[in-house]
Amino acid sequence: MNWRSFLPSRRVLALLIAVIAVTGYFGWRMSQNRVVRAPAEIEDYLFWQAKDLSEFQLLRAGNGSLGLKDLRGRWTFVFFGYTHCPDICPVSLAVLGQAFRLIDQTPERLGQTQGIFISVDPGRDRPEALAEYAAYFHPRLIGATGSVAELEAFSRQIGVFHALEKPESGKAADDYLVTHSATIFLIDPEARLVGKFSPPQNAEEIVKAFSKIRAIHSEGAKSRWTLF
Amino acid sequence: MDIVLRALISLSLWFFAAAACAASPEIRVLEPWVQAAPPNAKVLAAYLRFQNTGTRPHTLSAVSSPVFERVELHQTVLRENMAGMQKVGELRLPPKETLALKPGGLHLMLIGAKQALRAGDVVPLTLSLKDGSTLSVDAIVRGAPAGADQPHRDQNHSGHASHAH
Repeated sequence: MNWRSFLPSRRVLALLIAVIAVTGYFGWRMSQNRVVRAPAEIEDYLFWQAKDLSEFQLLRAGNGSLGLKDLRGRWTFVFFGYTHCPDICPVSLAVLGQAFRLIDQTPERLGQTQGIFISVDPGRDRPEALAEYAAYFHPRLIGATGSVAELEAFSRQIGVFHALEKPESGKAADDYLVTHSATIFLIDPEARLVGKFSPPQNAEEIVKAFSKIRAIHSEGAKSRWTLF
Repeated sequence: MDIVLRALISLSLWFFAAAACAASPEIRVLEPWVQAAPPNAKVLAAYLRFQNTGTRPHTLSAVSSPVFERVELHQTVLRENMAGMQKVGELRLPPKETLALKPGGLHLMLIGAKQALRAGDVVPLTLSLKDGSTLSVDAIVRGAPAGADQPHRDQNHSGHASHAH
């Protein structure tokens, strides 16, 4: 038997080299992209993967427009609702206001943290009144709304929907209820949707989780982070 | 000192008398409060607990307040973190049971505020039962949301302040 028959054929050799090259390349890329693992206790508040938001336009209450650039460079809490909402909205906004006061007492302070209350009821919520409504809970809370199409486009990016219910029979046309998301969302300074706080919310819980999310964010500043 | 003591005694006697002449002594209203909202808010929510100490069921059929155009009974329904509201026609108060109206659930929707309300203000509520009797309570406007970790600060506005006519 020829000793040459024990050597791999040229084709197999080429395949082997290709596999080693590809594995090596991805291994090198992974070592560049250090993965930061989120601590288990904040898993519930994080999305599986941070989601890059794309450009959007909303009407900023009392001060022009609101777009992607207004999310960059700061942490943003987002809540959807409407001012004719008696139960869920004032309670969640009060929790957020309380959370902001508590965050301001931590070593990191409020810094560039902001909150946006997005009214999904542009028919009744005028921008000026919305600004006043939002600021009541905390000065860092701004009001925003938009056209039906603008609101739907932004809601879709966040992954929520809302619906204006029909008025009950015998009631005025502007006397209706709105079904909306009751979750407080968190967007990071790179304008990525990273976190969520489901109802019922608690200010201390939000502050603790936010501080940990900020810590892993700065740890993996330029790298990717994941739950796995 | 004497005057203060005498005032306290007469005040507690008055509460006693008010409770004694109640048309519906079986229903007690505990810790009525209103979630503070911005001055331009058109609607607010009131929360409280009903305690039926009697042996027969009662039904809450209507609520009104002199500082609001109307009051409706509502239930917030949370489904997959979406909040919706449903109007509730009547509220059954089974015997020997306590029913809590609280954020994210059953609440009194106060519609059409006639004046801006601030934390500390009082919202008088008249609760009408199906048997024709009524209960009057004063709900305090509170800034902080109530939670399990939130102690109730309005000591003097618990069930003792409620009396029926």
